[in-house]
Amino acid sequence: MDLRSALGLKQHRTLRGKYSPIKVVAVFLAPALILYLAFVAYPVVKVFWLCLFRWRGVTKGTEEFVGLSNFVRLYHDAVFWRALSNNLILFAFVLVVSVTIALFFSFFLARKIRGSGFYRATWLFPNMLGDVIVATTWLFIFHPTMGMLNYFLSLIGIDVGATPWLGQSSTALIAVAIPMIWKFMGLYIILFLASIQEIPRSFLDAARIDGANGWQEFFKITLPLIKPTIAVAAVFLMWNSFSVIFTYVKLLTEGGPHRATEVIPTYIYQVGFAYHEFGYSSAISVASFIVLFALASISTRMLMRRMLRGETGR
Amino acid sequence: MFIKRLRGSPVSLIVQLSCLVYSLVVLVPVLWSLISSFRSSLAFFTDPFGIPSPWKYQNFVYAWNQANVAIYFRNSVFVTTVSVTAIILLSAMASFALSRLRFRGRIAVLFLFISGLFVPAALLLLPLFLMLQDLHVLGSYIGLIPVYIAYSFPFTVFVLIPFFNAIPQDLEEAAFLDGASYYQVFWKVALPLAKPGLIVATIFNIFGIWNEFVLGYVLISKTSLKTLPLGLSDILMKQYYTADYGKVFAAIAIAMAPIIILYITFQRKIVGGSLTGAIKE
Repeated sequence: MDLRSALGLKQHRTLRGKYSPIKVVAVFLAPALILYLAFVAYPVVKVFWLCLFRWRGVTKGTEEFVGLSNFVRLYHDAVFWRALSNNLILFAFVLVVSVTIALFFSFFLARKIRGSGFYRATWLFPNMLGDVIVATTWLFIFHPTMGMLNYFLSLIGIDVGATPWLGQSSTALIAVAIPMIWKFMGLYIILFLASIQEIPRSFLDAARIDGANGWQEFFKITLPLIKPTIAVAAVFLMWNSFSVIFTYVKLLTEGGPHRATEVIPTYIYQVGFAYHEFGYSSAISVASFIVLFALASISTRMLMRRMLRGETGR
Repeated sequence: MFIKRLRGSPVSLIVQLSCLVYSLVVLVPVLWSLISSFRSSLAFFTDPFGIPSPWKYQNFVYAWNQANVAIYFRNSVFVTTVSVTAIILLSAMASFALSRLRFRGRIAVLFLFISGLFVPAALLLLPLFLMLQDLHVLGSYIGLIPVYIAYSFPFTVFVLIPFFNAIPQDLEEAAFLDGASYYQVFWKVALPLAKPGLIVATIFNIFGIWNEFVLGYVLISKTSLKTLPLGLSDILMKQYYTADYGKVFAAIAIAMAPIIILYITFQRKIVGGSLTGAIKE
């Protein structure tokens, strides 16, 4: 199968079945394309260029070309590796926990249990709240002495005293992840729910006739069929995660204690804007892009196929 | 069979219970922060979980006037209105071109836009900062708003294209036979038919821009230009020294109010629209 038919291009006919006038195309496409190239594509190119330089001062003209030496430094930078591993742990933790719990809820919510409309509306709400609002609220929930978490734990008989969840290395990273899970879970539940409800009834009926029980139904039918949706959810999290992670870490821990919650975007910010090491900061960006592109190249093809199918079907 | 077995079984009880518990996990923090906006700063230490008595509505007066929330709110309304209007118009035009027009490089351009889904702005703060500095628009809306618009294209185009794809060929052909131009087809045929998609895209972009933090944090520094999330983080930083928690939550409540109103009004569309690429009414 050639690429064009794989992408569904052949069945997608366009206006009048021939090439559109170039002027028309330009009028419709140019405004968005120019802004996009200027503010998204150009900075990407620029960051790949900047990473080859080293600045002696903050002003222009003090940079010198140093080739790939920023990457050599990166390789020996323990903080970078710490930030990268924290970042990946955070991402994996948020993804695994929210997907697992969301699967549980969506599987059962698909069975039209009482109040499912209310649950859907309630659970999705945190997703609409800004990260600053969510982070501030959770900053107080985690507060050692007047926080809701420690108060609640003492109510159910677990006395943790004045544990500073965000202030000790052992718990800070997980504590930063909790508000993100709280925010994203609802979206995942709704996404999975819609995907489960798309499963043709005949599949389930056939399974039941063959005597499948609830567990088998879930693992043999539901899970394999909604795998693409889980992939889409992971992609959206990945796309979001750097901005989101930056906001939560900045407001909740500032990367501390002792870099226990340092992540890639906060480190890039610190090196670039506090230390004014523009070249080195760009090198960290480039390294992260390479990791991200590797993860994303697979998913992009998948998304493209969705876009080009020429219908709105799922 | 499974459905019937579920009713009244222990599994069903566990499910019902977990649904309730999770609803509390979602609602309690939200309600607590709303109620706490009426709490006196002293009461945060003495009685952080009770109902405030008396209800200290002065928190709001203080936040609105002294803590600049009025300015932040006005700025957020302005930035959100301008950005979202431009995002929707330009994305709709681009999506129309990518979906309904035929030209060389269509796939390449589509790929370019969609791959933007994997370009996190948080990795590009430095080049953006330097670029706006070179253009002398750093720290102004003339710099910030185009950046907001540009970074919203991938998601918005991703949402809109399926809606434009779904427009029946016949309708367009008929319009052309009646002598309509491409522009008339766009305004009179395509846009009205893509309306459900436009509404969903608008709602999600309003939330996105209203809540945006990272780009604003780097590109805007003047207090008089800060939007709500930026102002909120300032107020939050300040309370580390003043412990004026009541005011922090009053500011939070003010920032939350439009979100709550919008959410309740468009609840159905939002729940449906969360399926982004997968949606069509």
